[in-house]
Amino acid sequence: MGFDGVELLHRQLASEEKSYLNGLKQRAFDKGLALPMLSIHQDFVSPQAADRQKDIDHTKHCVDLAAQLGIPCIRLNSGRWKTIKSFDDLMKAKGEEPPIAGFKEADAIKWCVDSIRAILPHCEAAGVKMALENHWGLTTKIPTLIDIWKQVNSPWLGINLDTGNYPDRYYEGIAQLAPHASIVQAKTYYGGGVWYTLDLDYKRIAKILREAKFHGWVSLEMEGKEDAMTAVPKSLKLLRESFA
Amino acid sequence: MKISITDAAGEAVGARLEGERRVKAEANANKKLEIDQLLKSFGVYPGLED
Repeated sequence: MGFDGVELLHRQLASEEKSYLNGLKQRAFDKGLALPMLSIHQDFVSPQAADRQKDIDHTKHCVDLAAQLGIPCIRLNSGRWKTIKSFDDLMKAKGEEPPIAGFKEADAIKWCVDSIRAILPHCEAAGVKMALENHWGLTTKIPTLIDIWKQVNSPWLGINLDTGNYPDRYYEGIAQLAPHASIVQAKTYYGGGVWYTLDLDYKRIAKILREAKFHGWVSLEMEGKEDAMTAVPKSLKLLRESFA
Repeated sequence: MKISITDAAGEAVGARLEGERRVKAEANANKKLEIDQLLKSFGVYPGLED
């Protein structure tokens, strides 16, 4: 198809057995594909220390899986309050959730910072970096994401810049994150998005990233309703031309 | 610039919300085919969620 790599999702792995992981690594090499990132799912936004510890342990486990796969980075989320149950309602609120009663956003930021810090030694030992994403949750707000990243202040925590996870003013958000980005996930919406559609000008985005001296991976995420048989090649062509 | 691909439906917003995963996956089933084929050829088996 013309891609240079495949970004794996932890939840899609058929097995965590070493033989399976080694098989993936071997097939990637044979196909000339790099494995730049393993996207995992965890959530550090919980008042319960035991819940956070469970996700810290899960993240460490995923770091080990990435190391076995030869993947140098895992995608990390902040998590969210989960006070809005319906995703449609979350979109109506532009991704902003009220905190759990009795808590403030500063509490959640501290939970995230402390949790990530607890994982750092494991990352350094394994040689696997974490990349915190601007995602629907605490890190929907770009200043919050940058605040967490700066507080952690480690070369083992980078930022995964997603081009589509903004309630509004997305070029502004991309420009704010670009200087700090370790990897980019590039959304396309051919045929219209399932939840929403952003009209992203990738030449403009590529210019922002170039000016920010970004040289990392760009990972396509085609989220449109159009048949992938046509939408994925179109998306790849768009990205190739824009980032040429 | 090196370009990689990740699962189409996988990272869609809301996919990780409990109770919405199956709906999300069904909504994306038609457009996941090509990427699923790529991933399966690679030994990865996309599930109903990211």
